[in-house]
Amino acid sequence: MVLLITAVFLILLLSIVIPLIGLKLKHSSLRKISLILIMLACLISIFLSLQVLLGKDISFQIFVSGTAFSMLIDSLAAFFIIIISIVGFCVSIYSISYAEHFESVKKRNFLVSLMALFILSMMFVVISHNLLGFLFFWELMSISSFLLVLFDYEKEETKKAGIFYFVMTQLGTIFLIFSFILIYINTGTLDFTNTSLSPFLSSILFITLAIGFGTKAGMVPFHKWLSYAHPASPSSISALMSGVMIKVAIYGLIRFLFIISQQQLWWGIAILIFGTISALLGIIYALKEQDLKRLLAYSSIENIGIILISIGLYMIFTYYSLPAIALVALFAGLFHAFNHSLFKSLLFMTAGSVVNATHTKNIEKMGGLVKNMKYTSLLFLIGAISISALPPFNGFVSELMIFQVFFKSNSISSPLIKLILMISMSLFALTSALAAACFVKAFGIVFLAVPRSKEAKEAKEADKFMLVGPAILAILCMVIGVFSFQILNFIGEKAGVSFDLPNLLWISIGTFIIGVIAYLIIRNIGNKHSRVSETWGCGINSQNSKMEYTASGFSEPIVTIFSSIYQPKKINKPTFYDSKGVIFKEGQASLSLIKFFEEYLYLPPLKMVHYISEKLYKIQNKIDLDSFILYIFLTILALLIIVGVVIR
Amino acid sequence: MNPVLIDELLKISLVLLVILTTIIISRRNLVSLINVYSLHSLVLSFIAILFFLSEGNYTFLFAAALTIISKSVLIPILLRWTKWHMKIFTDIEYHYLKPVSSIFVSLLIIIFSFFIFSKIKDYLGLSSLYYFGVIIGFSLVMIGFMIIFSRRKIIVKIIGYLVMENGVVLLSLFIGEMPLLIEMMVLMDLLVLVAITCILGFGMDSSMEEFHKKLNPFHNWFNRRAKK
Amino acid sequence: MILAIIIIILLAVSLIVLFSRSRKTMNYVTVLHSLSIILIYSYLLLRFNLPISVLKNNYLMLDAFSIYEILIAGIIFLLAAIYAEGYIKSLIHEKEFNKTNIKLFYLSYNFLLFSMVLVFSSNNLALLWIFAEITTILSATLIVTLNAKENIVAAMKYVFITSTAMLFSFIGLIFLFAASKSVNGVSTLNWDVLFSISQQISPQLLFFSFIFMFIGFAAKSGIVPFHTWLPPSHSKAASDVSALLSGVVLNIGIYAIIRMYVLIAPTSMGPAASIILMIFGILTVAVASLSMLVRTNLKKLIAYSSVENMGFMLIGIALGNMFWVLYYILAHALVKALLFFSAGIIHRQSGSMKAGNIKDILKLQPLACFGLIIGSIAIIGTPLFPIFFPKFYILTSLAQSSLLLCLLVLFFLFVAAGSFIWLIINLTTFQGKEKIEKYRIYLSMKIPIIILIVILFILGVYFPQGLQNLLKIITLKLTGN
Repeated sequence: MVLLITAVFLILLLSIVIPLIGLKLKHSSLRKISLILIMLACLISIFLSLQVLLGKDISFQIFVSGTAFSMLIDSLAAFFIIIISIVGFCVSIYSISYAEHFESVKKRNFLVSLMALFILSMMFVVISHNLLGFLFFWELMSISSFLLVLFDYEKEETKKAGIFYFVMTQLGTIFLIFSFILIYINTGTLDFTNTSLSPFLSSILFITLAIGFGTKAGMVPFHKWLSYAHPASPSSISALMSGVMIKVAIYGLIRFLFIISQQQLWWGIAILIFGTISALLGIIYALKEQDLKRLLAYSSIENIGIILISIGLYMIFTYYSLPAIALVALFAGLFHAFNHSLFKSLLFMTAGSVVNATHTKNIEKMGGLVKNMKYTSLLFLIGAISISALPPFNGFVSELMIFQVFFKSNSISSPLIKLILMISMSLFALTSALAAACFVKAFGIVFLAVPRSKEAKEAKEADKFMLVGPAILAILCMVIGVFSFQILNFIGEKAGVSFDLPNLLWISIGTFIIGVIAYLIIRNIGNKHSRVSETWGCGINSQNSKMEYTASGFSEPIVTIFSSIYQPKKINKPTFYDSKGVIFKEGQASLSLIKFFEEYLYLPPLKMVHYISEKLYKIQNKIDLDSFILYIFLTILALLIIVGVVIR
Repeated sequence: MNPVLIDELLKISLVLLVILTTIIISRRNLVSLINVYSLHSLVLSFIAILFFLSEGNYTFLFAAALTIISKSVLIPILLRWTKWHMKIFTDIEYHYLKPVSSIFVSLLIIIFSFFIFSKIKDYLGLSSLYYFGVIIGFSLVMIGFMIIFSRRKIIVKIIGYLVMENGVVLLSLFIGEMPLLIEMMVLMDLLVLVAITCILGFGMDSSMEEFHKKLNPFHNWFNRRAKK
Repeated sequence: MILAIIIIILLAVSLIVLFSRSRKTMNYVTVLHSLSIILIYSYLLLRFNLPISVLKNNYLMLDAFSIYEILIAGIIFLLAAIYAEGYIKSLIHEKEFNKTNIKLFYLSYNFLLFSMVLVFSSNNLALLWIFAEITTILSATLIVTLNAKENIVAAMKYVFITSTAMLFSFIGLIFLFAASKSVNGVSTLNWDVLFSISQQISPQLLFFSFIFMFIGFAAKSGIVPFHTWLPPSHSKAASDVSALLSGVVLNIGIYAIIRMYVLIAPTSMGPAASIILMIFGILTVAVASLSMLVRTNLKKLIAYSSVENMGFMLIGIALGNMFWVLYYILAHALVKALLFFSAGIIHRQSGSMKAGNIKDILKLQPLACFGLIIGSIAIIGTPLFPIFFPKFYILTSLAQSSLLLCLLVLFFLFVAAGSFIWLIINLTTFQGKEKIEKYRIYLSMKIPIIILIVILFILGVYFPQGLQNLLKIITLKLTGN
């Protein structure tokens, strides 16, 4: 077993080094070798984790810089390794052609090498069973993803995204370091062990852990980096970050919640509330978004919210000692994390293909792609259906499980908690509906109707590798959805949990048969003399793309409904030929949505720190020597006074 | 020699030092400042000689000789040379403190030192005269420091530094004499330091502020490659 | 014997520098000088039982700590000397370096190395003080060798602030000297003797002298509020000199503070001394990291980062976590050298250190950029680089004494990291409108950068057993546990 782990490590190490050796090599062979090696490593680790899930845990130690990091692969870790490996595998296939799109050869090589490092660090975060080791690989993961976000450094927005991402990540990391130190000084060992602290300190620990992992996961109000970093980074990396990295943060949260003993009720409620807010705000923001990748990023926030909701439920039900329901909640959360990583990576990769083909991320300039990019649009459609939680795809199953847990909230006696759960459930239901609307918009505007720009018209189907990678994920989405009953039953037997789920296999077979029959009936019995012509346009000569429903138009009703959240500002700036403002010359009208979190939460403390720093810098940077000497003089006087007080 | 007489002479010299320091604080003419500094150092070496007379330790005599040679002769020559090259004769600019307030602050400094040193008086085990010497020594250090930040011209700043140094020497005389080797090296160090600062000050012309004003046209000189 | 050897080497080197016509020869002998120092002291470390007395009366003595510091100094001097070969050549070519200054530069360089060795081998604290003063003078000379008037101002500030503060250290020495007399009637400033009798000296006097000693050496290592000389002088000096100043000369202050702190730590005034160090450490980290925010001058930013790191080391000392402070000293020196070397190349390329004037460097000088990125990632304490571990452990010991302070320091480290990355991103990705010619960088400037990157990577994941043992021995000697 350990041999296999070593093999995975060495293979990934090789795939980091190989592209760097031929940094200036134009030929793609080295990159291909490296990507194939990554795939191999992913396959081995899937095999390894399946072994762990079915059998015994593996524990071993690695030595870094004279410190022993103990590592443990238990079922939780194995589960997340499977997520990392599946997505890693598909992204590697995708990257075989995607990496070649970059102009600079160095960039292509760096992309592959850093991606390998990224995957390696994520795998080791998950199997770390040691605080320092966890932190080591966690920071490595942050730095490698940071460098990957900065990939298109020529663009101004990428720079901004990079800085934003880095600052947020570091903010999360300092909270993590703090909580790790807190655990360390209380248990006296760096290995993960049960920590029992005073109620106050353990609450502090919970808060810092939640902020630390929540920042990485994209929990509201620390979610802002997602909407900058994902559009800026290469699509394969967005797929990895959104599909996997934010799940690693979820893994961290779960892992550390297991460690803290004596949990308090309000922790679960807090997680639930923040999860609900993230889910709702995430999808509301996604709805009005016109940048395809940013839309997906906001949708990730929503899904993280859903996962957090189930973790919150798990904690609440555990507190009320209802382990059976709690476990279902936990499984639902994990299952949703798994599903989300499948369809979100799928969506990001297909979005990447679309962006590559149309050279724009703005969905208002797309449209009609279904004709030229048949397979890509099919794959996107599968992803969209899954994420909208329509049966029989996998997204449906996990959301259904969460609803079932909500339904069982009767077993809790406290009316207040019941109320909170009810409110949360209704908001969660709203979220699901909005998600469906959001992806109807995304698919409709991007792929259907008439192309809105020249680029969209001339778009070409993606390369075969860029189809195979997402295709695997799409098939998985379907298979897992259809066979969810069988799979979960199998897992439930192992874990001793019972899920009552409908058997989707028969339903889907039934639906499929009905669908085929319906198709055949329409095909054979319906009007055979159909003619092809333009849709009737109320007498207009010919239709063009300007007349289509736009993305903004689609989301307008929702912007109106949720105007209290968006706070839209309408600006009209007309200029006139005459002084009285009668003859209109030209005008500028714009609709801007307030960036609530940036303007009210992020900027004020930043401005304050900036102000202090400016003042401080000024007093340190006078031209003359005199003030400096004066500072020293005063300091010495102060020191002497201290001496006078201290010495007795 | 009569110990009582020596004690009296020590007292007189200490008072003399304080008076000379006050003069340094208030003087504006550079020539007289340098002269007063020579005198200051001379009094210091006189105190060293008094120590030699009372304790019979030749280290004190050597120290006195070294002090006279370096501080009353060599350094003033160096300073005069610098002053002559810089073509400045007076320092009328003050910063933070005017002469009168400077003298007031010096008084406060002496009181403050008295207060601080009263805390460790018992641990030092010194007679009251020696204790007084220690306080004066430390006060000289702080007053020298004050001169550095309250006067503009670099040459006066150097004199302030030298006053500080004299204070340190005074302190070491009253607490316990350092080994001769170290004494010599300290003096060597001082000489080099003063020489270096003189040269630097020379390069900088008269005062930092004016220098910066003059520098502005040159500002992009260093970065001229960027402009090309 | 050892002293004689290094003096002979120094004399030979200076004679060659004085009488040689070619700059290349001067540079070669300088490289050889640093190399010989490394070889001699590694040989001593490996072959002899420490401590070794170098001068009569134990005025100069070598223990493990001294040799450790000397070796760090030697490595940085060696790399900087290699770097100087190409760097000074191009400075002269650009007429930013006056040809008449060449001999002065190389002489000061070699004498600085020599005095650095003497500082770290001084067992007598007064000698340590004197040599520290000499290093100030020599460093100032190195700063002014560059042909700009701003350098004179910077050097002036350096000399004035440091030497006035150092006078207070001397007062501290006098008190220590007097206090030691009370134990067995003989005054001494020999550190080994003081260390053995430190518990018998009156703790009040010890504390008194500690405070005074601290003032001077804090100024020497750029602790706030004595740090005001540091940013201008480090940013105005030639880049290889900046690397020396930041990586090695600042260590003198920390070294002396450690030596003094271990004297007072076991006495009843130990906690008070700790608190003083802690206050200054946190103040330093706070002021430096806040000053780093939105700096646009690269070298100034690196200089402020030095201040911040010194403050962090001070916190480590106050907590008594010597092992990791010692490791931090090494890591910091290496990273700072890398940063300054890379900054030097970028300065050659764009003639400026300011964001906005630096254009297209990622394309034109990829190695320097790479060095800069690696260096900045390393200095903020990310893994794969050596600062990660000491940072974590020092923070841990800080948390053991106060959780709130730990959070505060973490916040300041966060500000520092953010400002570092902000500037680095803005510098490396700034694109010029017109095409800029590539500046030819000599191979000798690239070699040290590559060496440093390799060393940093290796140290980041592998802590050699020998180094570990050495640090353990030093810690054992200094703290007794």
